[in-house]
Amino acid sequence: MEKQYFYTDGREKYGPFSLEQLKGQGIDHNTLVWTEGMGDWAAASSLAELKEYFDEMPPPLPKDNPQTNYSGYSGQQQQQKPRSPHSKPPNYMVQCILTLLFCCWPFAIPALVAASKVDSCWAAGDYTGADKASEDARKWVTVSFVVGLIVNLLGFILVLATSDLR
Amino acid sequence: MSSPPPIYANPRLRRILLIAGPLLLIAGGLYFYFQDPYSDKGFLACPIKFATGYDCPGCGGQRASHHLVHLRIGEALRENWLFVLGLPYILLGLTVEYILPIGSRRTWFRTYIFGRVAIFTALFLIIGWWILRNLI
Repeated sequence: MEKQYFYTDGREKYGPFSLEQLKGQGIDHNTLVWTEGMGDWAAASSLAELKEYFDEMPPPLPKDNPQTNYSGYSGQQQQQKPRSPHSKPPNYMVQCILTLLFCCWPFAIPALVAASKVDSCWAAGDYTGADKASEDARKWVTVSFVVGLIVNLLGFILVLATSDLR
Repeated sequence: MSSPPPIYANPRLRRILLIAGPLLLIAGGLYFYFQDPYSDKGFLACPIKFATGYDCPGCGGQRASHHLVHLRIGEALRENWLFVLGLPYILLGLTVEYILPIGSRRTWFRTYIFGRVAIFTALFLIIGWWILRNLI
């Protein structure tokens, strides 16, 4: 039986594919792939059967490092490679509500608006817009989380310092 | 045919959360169990409430947490129902986002439970609750 391959773009898992189908998926050197007999997922360029396929492609960008490339959401490298099929970027909705209800809501309002734009753009077929909204949501969530954490921690220390707990 | 091993969106964060998450929950639960938010000792008023005098959507969350760890669901809901309903939803969401492996189950949750409809519902509920609770 022909070997079956899977690959992932960090958001979704695709497969099984035959080797020929896999080559048609727009994978690049750093795309994580898996096939039977492999212990764990590995960069596509490390597979012997894909060597020929990659020899015909331009070499990877020098700063790409197969060891550290895979980091899930980190934006830069993801933007460089076309995702195919294009999977929906994270909308950070849960993180928005978390910061809204628990930390520091003024910053979480724009985050929630950006988060809602991710799914709206995606539904309308505006993939670039969805990526941008996702990035905006990530920024606002980070800001509100960090600010909320600092404000709450400082406040908590203040409370502990000034009030006598039983 | 064997299937691929699980792969995670962010393995390092997943490991940290698997250890820190339960510890934080236990520490927070113990604190809210033994400290009484009604007493003003050891608790901080919400900065928004402190600055403006208005309730924010999360106000009452500490009192609700205190009731929750004492298993008084009714009182907790009365303090801030949105907080009480939001808590398990957020815990589920964080689990889906950071703990579950990449795959169809995670995608299903992200599409239907934390997708477009959910986001607009949340926006509507939070803003609506925020306005309403300051009017009545």
